[in-house]
Amino acid sequence: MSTPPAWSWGATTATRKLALIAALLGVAVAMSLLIGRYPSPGIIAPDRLATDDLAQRIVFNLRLPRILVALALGMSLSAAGAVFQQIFANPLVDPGFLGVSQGAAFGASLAIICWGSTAWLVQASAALFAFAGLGFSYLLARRARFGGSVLRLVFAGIAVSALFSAGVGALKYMADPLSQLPEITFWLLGGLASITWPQFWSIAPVVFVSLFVVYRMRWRLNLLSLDDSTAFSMGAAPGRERALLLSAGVAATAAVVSVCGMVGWVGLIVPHIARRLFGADARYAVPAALLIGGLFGVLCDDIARTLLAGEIPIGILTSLIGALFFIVIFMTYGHGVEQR
Amino acid sequence: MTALLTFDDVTFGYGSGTRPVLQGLSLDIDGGTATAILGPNGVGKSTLLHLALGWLRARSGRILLDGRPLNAYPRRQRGQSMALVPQVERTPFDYSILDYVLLARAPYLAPLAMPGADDERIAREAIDEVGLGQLCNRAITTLSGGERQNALVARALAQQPRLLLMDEPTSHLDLAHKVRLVQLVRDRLARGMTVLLTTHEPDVAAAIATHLVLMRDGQVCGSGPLAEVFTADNLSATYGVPVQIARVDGRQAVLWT
Repeated sequence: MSTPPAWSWGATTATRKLALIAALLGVAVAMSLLIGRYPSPGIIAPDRLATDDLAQRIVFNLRLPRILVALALGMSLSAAGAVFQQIFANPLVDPGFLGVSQGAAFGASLAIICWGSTAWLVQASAALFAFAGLGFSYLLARRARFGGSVLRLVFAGIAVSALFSAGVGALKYMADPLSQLPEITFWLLGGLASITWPQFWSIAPVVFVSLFVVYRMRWRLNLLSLDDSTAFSMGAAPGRERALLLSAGVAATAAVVSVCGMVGWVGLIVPHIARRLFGADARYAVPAALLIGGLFGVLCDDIARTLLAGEIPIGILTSLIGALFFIVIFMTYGHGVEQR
Repeated sequence: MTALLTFDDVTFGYGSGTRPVLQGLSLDIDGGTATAILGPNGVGKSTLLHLALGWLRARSGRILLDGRPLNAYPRRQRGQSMALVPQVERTPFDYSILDYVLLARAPYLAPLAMPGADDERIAREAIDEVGLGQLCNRAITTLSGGERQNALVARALAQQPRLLLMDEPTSHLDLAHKVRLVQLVRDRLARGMTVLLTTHEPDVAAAIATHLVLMRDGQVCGSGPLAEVFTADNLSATYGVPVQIARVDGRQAVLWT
């Protein structure tokens, strides 16, 4: 065994790569501010920005909050995905998986049908039911008489998701096909078109605190991916620490989903890319997932708002691009997960 | 002198209302010994180990570490005192051996701290000690069963415990690795560590242990220094099949059928 494999970079190389991705992200955010369809499709020249009042308002009141939410969206889903995959020791779970996504979808649909499409009501209801999804899953897992703690959560998550998804189906069936149904459908496809500063500020504190918790506890994630009794033997409190990290992941996910709608695949695919580039050690994989997720979110939203004259729902883009990435990654060797 | 680890009339069962796995078990493990818990499959050996770890809680009776009830220890202090080598460990992510062994430093670190240079040095020493030094950066998922078991041992050593718990540590090891493990345990004993291991192989127990605990039906049916307990009669009674003990060059081997 003389040739070390690709995942054995030293810490400095990993740090340098992270810095590179962070720089790319910075450039992407800056460019995204200038890209759009005003005054004509393409880029606003920076000197025009200094003089054109309307250009300033578009950039700072419309594009900036939207880009920041796209950033938060990508980061939250990716970080939560990394947390979920490690804690469940399963590379195929995503952050919506404990009843969170379907809960949010149910909440939003319910709000659209019962109280019309008032934005803040839809957002609040989606967030509320996202947490309700997690709560039901957790309670169900505690009462299940089957398997270990992780398997019970998986089982509960699947059951609760199915219940909420049945609920969404029923609501869609009852919805007014001319006004409410399209609205529900668009929400389920995801989109950032209606984002302005109030939406950003409504999610920023939750997202920031949650991501901070995940970032600071990232080395513990490695420990929590082991069996309960082993993690316990190393002085961890597996149940409590897992609950804390999962709650942080779910809180961030619920917050961004409540304003952006359903955005699939990011939380599944980005942690894989991060592990592929940085190895399985969460010390590097989690910051990598945050940065790559942010980049992915910003770029997808750029395409969503600029490619066509009309808005493309971002969920379609993330699924399309994410799935293509996924296929490429699984056709290439060495994705940071055991080969069975 | 009080024992390092004491089981005092311990009864344990999985779930309430079920038949107990361990019934009124009492046991003393003295410091500086290597005690092998020997018995047929499914007799409660691993259960006993997990009780010693504090992961399982006894239905009744007390388990004391250094004369102090196990559940009175703070988590990190317990993690610094005891390490576990599990029988198998499922790990879907390909951590490098070094990353994997570094996890053992957790009980010495504050909850949000990350391992530093000292921790890495300790981890590397442990990896060298089990003979995986050349493979430090290999992914654990690419290791053979034996190498993986050695990585688990290295991780437990990096935890620098006073009491090392090993659950069937030789189950995946070939002859050369078994010899190496026996030597490693003897070396650690000489440096004052206490070892408690389970095994269903009498030969392994005879090679590693200074003391022996024979288990049958959730009860201790014999315990004491190896020389006194390792007899044909005792082993025949433990396993329920007639066995003989052959002495070759001062070593003991179990013959069956």
